[in-house]
Amino acid sequence: MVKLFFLLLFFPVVLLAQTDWQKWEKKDVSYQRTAPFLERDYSLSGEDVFGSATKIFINTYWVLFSNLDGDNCPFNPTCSSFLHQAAKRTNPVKAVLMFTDRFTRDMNPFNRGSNYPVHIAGKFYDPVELYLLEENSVHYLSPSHMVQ
Amino acid sequence: MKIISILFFCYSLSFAQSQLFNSPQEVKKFADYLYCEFDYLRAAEEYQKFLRTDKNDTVIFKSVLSYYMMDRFSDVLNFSVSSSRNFVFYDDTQFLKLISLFRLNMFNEFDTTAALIKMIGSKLETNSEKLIRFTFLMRDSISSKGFIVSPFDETEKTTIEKFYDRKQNPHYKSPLLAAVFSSIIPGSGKVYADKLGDGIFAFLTTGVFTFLAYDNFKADHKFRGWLFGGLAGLFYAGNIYGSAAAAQIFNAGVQFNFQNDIQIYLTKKKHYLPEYDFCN
Repeated sequence: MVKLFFLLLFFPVVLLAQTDWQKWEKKDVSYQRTAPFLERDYSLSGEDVFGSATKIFINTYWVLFSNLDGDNCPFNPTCSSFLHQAAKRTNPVKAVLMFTDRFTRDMNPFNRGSNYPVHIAGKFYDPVELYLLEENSVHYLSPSHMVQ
Repeated sequence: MKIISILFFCYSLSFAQSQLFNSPQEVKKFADYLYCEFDYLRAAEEYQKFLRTDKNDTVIFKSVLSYYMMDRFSDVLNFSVSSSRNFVFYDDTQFLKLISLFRLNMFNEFDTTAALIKMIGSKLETNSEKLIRFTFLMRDSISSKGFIVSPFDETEKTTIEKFYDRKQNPHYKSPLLAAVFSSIIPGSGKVYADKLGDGIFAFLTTGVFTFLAYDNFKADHKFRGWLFGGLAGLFYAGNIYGSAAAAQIFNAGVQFNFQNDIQIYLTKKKHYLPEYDFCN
């Protein structure tokens, strides 16, 4: 009886003694940097004709250039996202004008720090709302402001 | 020996904690200490603890004052609602409420409280009049310079007059004019809207594409000519649009800086709140 008791006790002890195998086992470490900008939404759902055309164009740009080139746009939202948002918020003509203006501003590397507030991700915050030319759409943020 | 030990044990129990550290008086003493050490948030919490069991006008006011010091204006409003006319610091609490409404930009409620302060003949009526004048500067209402500067003494009048002049004649840029400038010389609208770098790059971009279009047409490369011509046109039109938007953003910045300067000035003046010395 005693033997059986010890035998029964032995198995749970062996099974439960060390539950943290995961902690000590060998693990393949990856030294590659994570790239959150690659987690992109490629879907075309909820888009109108112009929105879909713009999204296809942007998706192509993302796959062929941006994903390979890396996270290089200094702005938040990025220029391609800016175009997409502008297409959603306004009409095609206005969206293209807003995008070309943004593209020109992107080419200017000087004094960005004194012109744009910084987003918490480290990019210059430049939202679509500022460029809609609509009453009360401009919510000014000081360049010294950190956008969450 | 046993008897001595038992007696010793009993005496230890009875004398060990003769002072109740959580008694209201001890809590108040600790809160006062925290308040004088400028640890306002913890002081407010201790005052709250005291007020759960006891009532004291000074404690209520110091609690409100602690919240004000921590910029917790919603908490200040919650407290000042419950204060009655018999309250010793009623005028002061109403004034703190007025400041909080000002800081929270709740101007409709501000007007009601300001009217109440005037009606009851508060000892802080002059101070509240000064705050009222600042709300006129921050709102879209037009008043004469004499009316705005009237409650202020000579040392402040010049500064208030400058604020008034900035309000009446803000250095806004016209979005239409910016667009017109950019349509004449690409980028000039951006320069007018205080974006010199963007203006120069807009000029260069449009200029380079226009030259490429011209050069390709000249060399009879029609496709490339139309391609670069189209791009030049897009950047030209985009720059006109962007110049108008830049002027609009500039104007929003002027308004923001004006309101920000008022807030900085009032913070320096401690919103005309009298000095309270509860620590000496």
